[in-house]
Amino acid sequence: MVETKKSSPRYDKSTQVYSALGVAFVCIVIGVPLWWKTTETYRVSLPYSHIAELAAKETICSVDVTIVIFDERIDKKDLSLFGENLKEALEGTSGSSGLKIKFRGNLRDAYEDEQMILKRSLNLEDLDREIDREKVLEEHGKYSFYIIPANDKLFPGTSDIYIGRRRNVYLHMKSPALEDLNRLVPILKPIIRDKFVNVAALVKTFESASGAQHLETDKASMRAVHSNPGYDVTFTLLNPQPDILNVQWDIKRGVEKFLQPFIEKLMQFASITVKSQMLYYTRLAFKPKHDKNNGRYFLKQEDLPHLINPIEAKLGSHVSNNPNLNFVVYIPTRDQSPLHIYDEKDFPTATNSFLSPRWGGVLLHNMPSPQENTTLPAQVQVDMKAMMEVFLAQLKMLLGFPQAAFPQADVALPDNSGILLWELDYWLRYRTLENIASSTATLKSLAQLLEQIGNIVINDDIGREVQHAVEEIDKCHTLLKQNKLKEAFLSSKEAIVASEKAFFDPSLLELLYFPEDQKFAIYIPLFLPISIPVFMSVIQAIKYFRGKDKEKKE
Amino acid sequence: MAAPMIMRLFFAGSFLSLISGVHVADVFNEELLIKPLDSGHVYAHFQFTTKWDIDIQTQQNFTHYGLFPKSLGEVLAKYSVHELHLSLTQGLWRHRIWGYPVVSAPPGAELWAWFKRDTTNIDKKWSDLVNALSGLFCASLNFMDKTATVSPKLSFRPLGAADQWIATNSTYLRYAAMPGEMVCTENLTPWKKLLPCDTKAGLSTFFKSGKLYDTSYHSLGVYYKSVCTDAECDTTGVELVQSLAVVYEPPVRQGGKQDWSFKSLFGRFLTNSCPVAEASHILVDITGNKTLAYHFHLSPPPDRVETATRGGDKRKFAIYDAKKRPPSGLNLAAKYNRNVIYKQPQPPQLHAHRFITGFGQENGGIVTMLFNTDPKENLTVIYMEMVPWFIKMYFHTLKVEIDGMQENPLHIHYVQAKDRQQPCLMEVILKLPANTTTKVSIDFDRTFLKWTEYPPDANHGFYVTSAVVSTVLSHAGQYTALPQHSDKLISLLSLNDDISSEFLLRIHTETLLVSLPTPDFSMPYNVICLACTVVAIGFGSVHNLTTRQFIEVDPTKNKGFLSNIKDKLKRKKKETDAKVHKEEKSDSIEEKKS
Repeated sequence: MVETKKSSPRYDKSTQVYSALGVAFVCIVIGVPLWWKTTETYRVSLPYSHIAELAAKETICSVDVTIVIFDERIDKKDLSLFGENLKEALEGTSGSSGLKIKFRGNLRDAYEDEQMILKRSLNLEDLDREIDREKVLEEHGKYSFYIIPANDKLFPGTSDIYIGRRRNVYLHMKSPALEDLNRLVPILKPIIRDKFVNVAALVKTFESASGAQHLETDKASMRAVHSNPGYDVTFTLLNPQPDILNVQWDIKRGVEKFLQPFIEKLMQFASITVKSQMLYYTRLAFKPKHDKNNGRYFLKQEDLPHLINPIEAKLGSHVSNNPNLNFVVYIPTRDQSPLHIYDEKDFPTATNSFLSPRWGGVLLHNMPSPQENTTLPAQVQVDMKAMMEVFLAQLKMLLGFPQAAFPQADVALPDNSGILLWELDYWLRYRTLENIASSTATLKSLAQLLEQIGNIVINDDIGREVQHAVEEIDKCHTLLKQNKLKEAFLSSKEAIVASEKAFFDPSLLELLYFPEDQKFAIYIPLFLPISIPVFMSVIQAIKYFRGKDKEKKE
Repeated sequence: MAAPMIMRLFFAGSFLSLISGVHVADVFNEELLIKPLDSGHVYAHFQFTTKWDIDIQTQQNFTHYGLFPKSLGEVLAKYSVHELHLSLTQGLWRHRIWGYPVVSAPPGAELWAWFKRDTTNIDKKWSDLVNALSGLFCASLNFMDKTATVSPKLSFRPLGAADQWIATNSTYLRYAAMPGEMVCTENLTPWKKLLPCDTKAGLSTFFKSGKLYDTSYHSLGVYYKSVCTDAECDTTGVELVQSLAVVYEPPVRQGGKQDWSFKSLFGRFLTNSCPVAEASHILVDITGNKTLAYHFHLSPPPDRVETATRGGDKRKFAIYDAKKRPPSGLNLAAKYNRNVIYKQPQPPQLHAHRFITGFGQENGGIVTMLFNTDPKENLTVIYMEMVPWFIKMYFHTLKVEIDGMQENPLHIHYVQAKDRQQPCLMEVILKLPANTTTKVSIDFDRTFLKWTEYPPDANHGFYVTSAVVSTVLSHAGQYTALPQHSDKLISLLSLNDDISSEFLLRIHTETLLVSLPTPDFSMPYNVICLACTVVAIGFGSVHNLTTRQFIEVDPTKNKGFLSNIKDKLKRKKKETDAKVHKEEKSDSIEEKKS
């Protein structure tokens, strides 16, 4: 039997109320946070605001243009006027919402030794070589324009513009008058804006890489593979009839002789691995048409896309994460030989080859059919020089080198690497902008994803990669502004590698499939029986206090 | 003791690799061996050998590929593989009735690889390698992680050219097997793609999966190793052997005769040979035929018939050169003269049988019977057992009995399993006296796994891979494996001078299926609910005790709506009770008063 304490029921009731409140307090202040803390997912804090800032930030890319005047007779006033004009012409509408190309001009007289060289040189090649030798620093992204006074020796008449091997352009100015000087402006503008820098292409690449708009990108950028720290190049010889032709190729020497200088030149920016293979009994899945006029077989341009898929299955490689560029030499079968590619006007194309955007190139290599009385298979050799010429040009396009043509100018021939330095500069600028745009976009969407889904574990590795990417992007912005192209490219490469690594980290997916509602289904057997009595007694307590208040008032 | 002795025997074989000095960058050969087995089955072994004269140590050599498949070469070069042996098999090779195969393979997938010298971080390389191969051959080799991989010390030696260091250092070796792997066309297709002629020409045109998989045994193999290219072994090259072995059911439908032909086995004729192959041979083992037409005759007649003596065993082969066939196509056929009379086949010198003992879900045992049927010759064998960690072996229960008499093994190498880290490896060197049966037994406990560690079909059981028995035979009865110095089937013919009388033999036993105790998989939720309920009950009573006071209630006082109803109900019940049990009325009243 419970003994009652009738003497002080009020006192008892209050103890009861306070202890109920105490339990509720412990449950709320200790229990709930404890549960929250122990079941929380591990999330490293990421620089969300910094990422958002980066995404909104305008990228400024500087280009240095130096104009060197050899003719001392030109009036200083005219010169400064010319400079103003040129600057105005270049600025124009350069850039877009996120990207701004800033031209920094510099107008100077020729140094004494440059004058000497000019006097000494017999032709433009000499001049170009000597002037470059004088320049101590080889700097990416700095272009020089040499305005050369009337000189029949160097400019024998055909063209007044000569584009050198590196970053120099030589212009012929016949008289020191202002109108002659001003005539240079419309010549310089397209060379700088549309060829050396190619503002339009840069803007488009930048915008499509940052994912702002789905633009109809131009052909050149559709062709090029996305920027990557390395590329795998595979040469494949397809011999569909090894029983008739025993085709051999000296690919090892071919690569060493024709491709190696190119690879070495790009070595510090991208590693290119070259491999080759021979495949037998792989033929075109497409039947070419027969041209009865000359006995040729031909493929129309619209047929070409169908050729690649059946070959593709045999080319595969499993070990590398780099994009693979395939260059295929196809030896037509005897019953379809000679095989040509016809253009729109039904003329055979000069190289008999075609390029597949972001995939590689195919060369149809016709071989003379073996004579009646030769023993089969007949031995034949692939001409490496012809093949490599085609494939090197295609490789340049696939990597995103510019396809600039200068209708009015003479262009120096590249050295054995096949790259002119101003082309390399363009490529660096283009890749840098693409890299930082896409790495910023990757970070932005990663941040968005992580903010939206609170369940995802963010471990330290991801945090570190994101931090690294953000730092590198910042660094790249500064370097681009200073026109330090090489360094900017390298840090943009770091940024894209780090951001991709963070984005594709497999640990992000681990807890994603454990939805919130199921978690509560599991906790309910605990929460419900505990919370109901606590809740009820708290209500009781509140009621009690109210009653007390009323009593007091009465 | 005997352990070093048998190891020495194994090396002797390893360093003999040499091949005649023809110097071409790469050479491809295709061959087929057909052997009618005593049991009436027909054994067909295809072998494609690609030899490439490059030094295996130099990474840059793996750049320009000719006949060697690039997709595989890249994988091998990237992960510094020195030697690789992969087999994908469906079905069990029955040594007792079929004799010995050219290459022994266990059911499922088996992979063992030696890594190059100075390879750092071999475990990482191995895990990358199995993942790459898994993609290349569409097999689930990626499950060969560290919990399924061992480095056996005694059983495996490099089969190709290798320096002394590698042969004595098993840290460069990794061995794993997936006994539950199902092998089918999806593995055959990528395997075919590695052949230079694919299935467009030559013997590989026979690879139509419909016929190949309707057989008792089917085994795909990829074997890669370094080989010597001259007699002194100053220069080495690499060699890739791709093999496909099938055993067809006894062909008895034709009126009780065992006739077979290309058409009946493979579904088509042989119309051409692979043009890039150096040679294309078909060999038929006709040893069972006393004269050319005693039991059966071959049509068309063979190009030549040769006899080879090997370790005292005389074998006769009919040889066809597929390069010289007319374009009409070759339908090689064997026509039997009389109906088949089945008899008990002569078992080979060494065969084995392995099974599980015990009952229930707590413990059990593994027993292996090793049979040495030779009347005179003793055999020294290395018996290797690899058991997953969740089957807990009791090493002290290892017992070797020879015809019922307990014996001690000559040497034991035992690596204890670690939970979720490494499997148990046991290598035992045994001496099998002539004409005896040796029983090797060991007991184990079945573990209860964590509920997430069970596969989706947990009640199916867990596979334990085949035990590997390696030995050196001194005579070659029923032995078909290739000599160590050559990997071409045709070299079986030039063995007349093979008096070495050392034949490395490796056989694989049956795989085992062990069922582990499986939980009720809704258990975790039940446990959570139960635990929460217990906590809630405890909490509830403590809460009540601390926050409530128990006082007497005045029953006459009206307290509320609910208790009024309760009282009414009680009263009614009592009234009815009173009517029924009048004699108890007084008791209930008394109760009320108290």
